[in-house]
Amino acid sequence: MRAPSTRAAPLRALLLRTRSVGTRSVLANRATTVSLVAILVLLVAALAAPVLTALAGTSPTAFDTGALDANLGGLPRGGFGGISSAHWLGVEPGSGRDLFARILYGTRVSLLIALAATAVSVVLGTVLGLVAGFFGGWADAVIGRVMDLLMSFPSLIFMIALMSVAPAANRELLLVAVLGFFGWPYAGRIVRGQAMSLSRREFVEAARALGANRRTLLFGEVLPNLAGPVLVVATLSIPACVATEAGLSFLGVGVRPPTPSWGQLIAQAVPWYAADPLYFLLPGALLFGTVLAFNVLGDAVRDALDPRGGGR
Amino acid sequence: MSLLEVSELSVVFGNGVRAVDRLSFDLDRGSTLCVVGESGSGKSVTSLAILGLLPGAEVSGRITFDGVNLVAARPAELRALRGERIAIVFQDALSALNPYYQVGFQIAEAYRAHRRVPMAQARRVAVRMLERVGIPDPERRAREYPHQFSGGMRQRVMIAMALCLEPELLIADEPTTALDVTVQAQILGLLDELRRETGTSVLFVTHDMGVVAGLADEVLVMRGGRAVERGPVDRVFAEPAEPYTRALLACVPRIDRPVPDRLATVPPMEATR
Amino acid sequence: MIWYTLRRLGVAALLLLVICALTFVIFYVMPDDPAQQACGKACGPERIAQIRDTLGLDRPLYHQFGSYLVGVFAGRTYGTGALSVHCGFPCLGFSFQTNEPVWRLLVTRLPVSVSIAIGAAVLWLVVGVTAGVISALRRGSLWDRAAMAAALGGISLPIYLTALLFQYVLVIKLGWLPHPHAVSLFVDPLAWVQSMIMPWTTLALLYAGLYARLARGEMVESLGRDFVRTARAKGLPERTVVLRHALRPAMTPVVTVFGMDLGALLGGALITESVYGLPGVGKLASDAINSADQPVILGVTLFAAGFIVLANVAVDLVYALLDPRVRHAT
Repeated sequence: MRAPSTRAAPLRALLLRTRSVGTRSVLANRATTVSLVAILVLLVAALAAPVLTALAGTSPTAFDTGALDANLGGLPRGGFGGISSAHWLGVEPGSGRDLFARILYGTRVSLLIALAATAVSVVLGTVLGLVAGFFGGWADAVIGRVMDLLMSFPSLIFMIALMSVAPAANRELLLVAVLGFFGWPYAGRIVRGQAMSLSRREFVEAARALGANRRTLLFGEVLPNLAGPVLVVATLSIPACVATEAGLSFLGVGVRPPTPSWGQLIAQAVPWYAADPLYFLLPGALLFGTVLAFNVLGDAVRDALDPRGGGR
Repeated sequence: MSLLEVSELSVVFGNGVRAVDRLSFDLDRGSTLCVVGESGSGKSVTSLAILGLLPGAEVSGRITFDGVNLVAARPAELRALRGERIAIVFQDALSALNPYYQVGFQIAEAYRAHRRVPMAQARRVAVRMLERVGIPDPERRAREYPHQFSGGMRQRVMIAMALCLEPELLIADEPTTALDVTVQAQILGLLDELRRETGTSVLFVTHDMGVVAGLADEVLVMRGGRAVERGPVDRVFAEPAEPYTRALLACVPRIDRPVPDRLATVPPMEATR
Repeated sequence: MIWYTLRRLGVAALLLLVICALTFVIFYVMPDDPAQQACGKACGPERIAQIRDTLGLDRPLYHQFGSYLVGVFAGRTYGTGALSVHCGFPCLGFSFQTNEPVWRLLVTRLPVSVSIAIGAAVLWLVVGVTAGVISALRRGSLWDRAAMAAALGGISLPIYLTALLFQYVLVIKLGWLPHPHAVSLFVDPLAWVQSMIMPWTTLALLYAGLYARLARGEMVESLGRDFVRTARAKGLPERTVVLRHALRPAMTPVVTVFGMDLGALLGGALITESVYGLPGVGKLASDAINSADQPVILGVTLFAAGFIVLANVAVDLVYALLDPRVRHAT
């Protein structure tokens, strides 16, 4: 590879961002544990959303105008966003839908999209990166160029434009496809680089000398060694996808009502933010906490896998 | 009195590794001491300890340079000595030179760290030094960047930088290890020549017994952070007192003797902590 | 250097062409009938046919794309005869909503976006890079840990959430700041700063965290380099060692990343503007999205893409200027 030259330069710098910051302490370990627990709780809650809402005796789509005060322009009855024994986290102003149920179902939607999009981009990136790095030649040239192109592409603006004209049906699936498509070069580049250096490393040379064929090499030697870097990319891709999906939904081009997602809920809360701050604070805090937890976890995974991080 | 006296020097790193262990030696004005040993024997750490360039390591003992104990010296005192009275040439000139600045500037900067002169004058010193270390077309080369030089030429630049203030002590930390054999000989020749001209004392760190024979007045053999043997070069080569020194000497293939079936190697050492 | 510049410009031109084609396909081919959209709901078939003719929607696709490209680079005339409308260079079409030329809309909205972007960029560069460099110099200290924890929080905080929080706390609850509104710097500088400080901070918070982490990592690496040790061995003052020898190499990647973020900045400005209701290019885009005003969306997309692509070229050139090794390799 041409060292720090021409077009590799900005990409190199981009990858620098995913390099270890290397703050290791007891505190960091505790933060990692807390993050991991929080993420697991959230996942379980998302999976069990129907059970939990049934327990709370609510539904994400039922209107409860009785919880609203018509004299106040549809604000929830009572303070704190209408928190009551019937509505644990209050209700949506204007419609009276139960916030606990909507946030829970929104968690389901947001996490599902982020996880699926990450899966798409990681699988796509790993396969194409492997092909490019392991086989080289014209495959590498073509895939490399496409990755360069996609990474220098104004993807957020383009996603906004694309999603704004896309049909109203199957928005979630479309989001997964778009996020996955624009995300794969990040995994692809790292896998390609690793595959290139691995396929020249001694143990792969040795296996080749012993008469192993390409497939055995790929699945037996190269792929297992890629698990670490791929795990890091995947962990850091999840919060990025969560944030992007929320941003798109906030702008009105992502998930559309009545389907809830965190960004979509916050978008709905904007007209009410002064009168009923809990409406945007609750999904907002959940969004922030989730992205933060995944980022902490991503840092921890990287520090654990990066031997250089230890001494710093 | 010796120019440099090291006594009971110990260096312990943050991770508990004792790189140098109660090392003592001295170096007279105008003479050359070669410190030899395998990698990891603590010879490079010793040279960095003299300049106080070991952040995060615990240095104890005494390093007396011209009557001043460098271990206890204040940072400002150390800084005034570095470059001006004690200079160093590192092993890998490519990474030791800053890729972002012209070599002429990097030499001029070293000069100006200790002499209050205008930049233009310092640059003239730099060009003169480049010429003196045998770099052709020094005016033009001074405006070039380190990556535009060959390995040997880069090491010449390092030497020019180290000698521009005529230091009393030059530490050469494996200056030829990264170079081709022919270039090695040129650089060694240059160092020897400059040493004779300036009368600088030299502390030469190497693992190459062949280099020692041609350059040293005295030899210090190190292993595991300790001094194994010390003495005048002729005596040590002719009748090494320690088995380890004999083993090191036996590792050098000799052109005037038949090649043995197996080249001798040094027996491994028990771990010293 | 000249060849390098030309080659980069060539790649940029190619990228722009690809983006043009893709956006064109998305906006004029994917929707069912642009003429219907242009005309609105209450619109007779006769009028739709007329619009279709004016926009050239009956002609083959490559022809449409051709005239679109010509319009962007040289201007074009829609329709013929008395009904014809000339659209001067650079022609991005007319808004379906207001019938104004998209280019003029963009130009009038630009100052607001630029003042948000520049203010935020200055803020995050100064705060983020300074914090990161200090962290690197005092690794493991209380400052380092606090700054890095704050940075991690900053990069996890979505812009619109920060914006809503700021507005709720600073404007509604405490009343310290007015609602952000468009004020000209030249008419009332104090009001301008008061109005802009929340959007600046909102946008800067996210990037400051990113840059603090980046600057710290680069600086730590740079401080461990051999040439920094050489600089100390020369007897240079510690300040010169840090500022001249360690900081310079550490800043090169920061500059590169900054150049690439100029593009992402537009996306961020878009969200910031739409939350604070400031009439910038971002607000223009989000309004256009809500009213399905496709020529405006297309115009903003192309404008942003062009800006990003050119910013990338600029970054590559600056990179070559900053790093002599890149300069000579090309």
